[in-house]
Amino acid sequence: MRVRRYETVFVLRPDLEESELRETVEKFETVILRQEGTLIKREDWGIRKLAYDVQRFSKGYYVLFDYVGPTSLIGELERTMKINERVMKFLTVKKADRVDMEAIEKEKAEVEKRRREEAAKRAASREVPREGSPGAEERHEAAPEGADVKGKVVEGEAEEADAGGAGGGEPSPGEDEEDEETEDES
Amino acid sequence: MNRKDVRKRKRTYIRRKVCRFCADSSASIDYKDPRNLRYFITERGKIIPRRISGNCAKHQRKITLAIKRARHLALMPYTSQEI
Repeated sequence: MRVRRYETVFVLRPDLEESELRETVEKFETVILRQEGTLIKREDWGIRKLAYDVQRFSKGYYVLFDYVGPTSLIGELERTMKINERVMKFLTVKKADRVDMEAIEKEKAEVEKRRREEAAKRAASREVPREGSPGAEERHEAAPEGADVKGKVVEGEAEEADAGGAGGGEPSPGEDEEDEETEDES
Repeated sequence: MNRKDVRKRKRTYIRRKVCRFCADSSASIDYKDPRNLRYFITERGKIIPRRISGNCAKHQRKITLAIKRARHLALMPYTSQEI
């Protein structure tokens, strides 16, 4: 079967509970898997400010999927998103016409590895201040799962803050150069 | 005589701009990165034409597509009410 590589970004309503968010995203993941697709990477950008209001919300929860699948998958995925009222916006872009499944598998493993490392690192840095307190042992056992999810959200938030900071007062090139140019043209 | 003068004066203003993406191959155009695309829109949110931004045709097309995609995802504004 002919498979291609795609990328989908979708925006969920900002007022969803954590569990609702997870449930929704997982639902889309299963759509991909059920349609014989392979999810390579999932990126949670977290809550970001929208450039304009959508459904009266000024913020949205962004998620990105990077995956490989047959063309029929896109129809099914987009249909599911259209029906789902938690989704405010979505966009699918084709990244490559031909894919090398071996390379994809490798990339997938790489992404998974990096994700685990980061999660472990976060969990470790979080453990430090708690050391010596009673019950630290038990928490250590429980940490990886929780830290994983939290870690992702933190990452998204950092990105958002960053974007906002740079976006604010950046001068546009149009204005100061425009005068010059019109003189050229006349 | 006069016309010639004018033309000469004009020429001094012409500054050949080089497409920044041709000059720097590491710079990428990505709809997911509105911070870099912001440079190619006016304060009103309009896409800056090629003759002003100095991009080559190939890269201007990519920029335009990226901006339009970013707008669809509400990463960039279609218009801006401020100002």
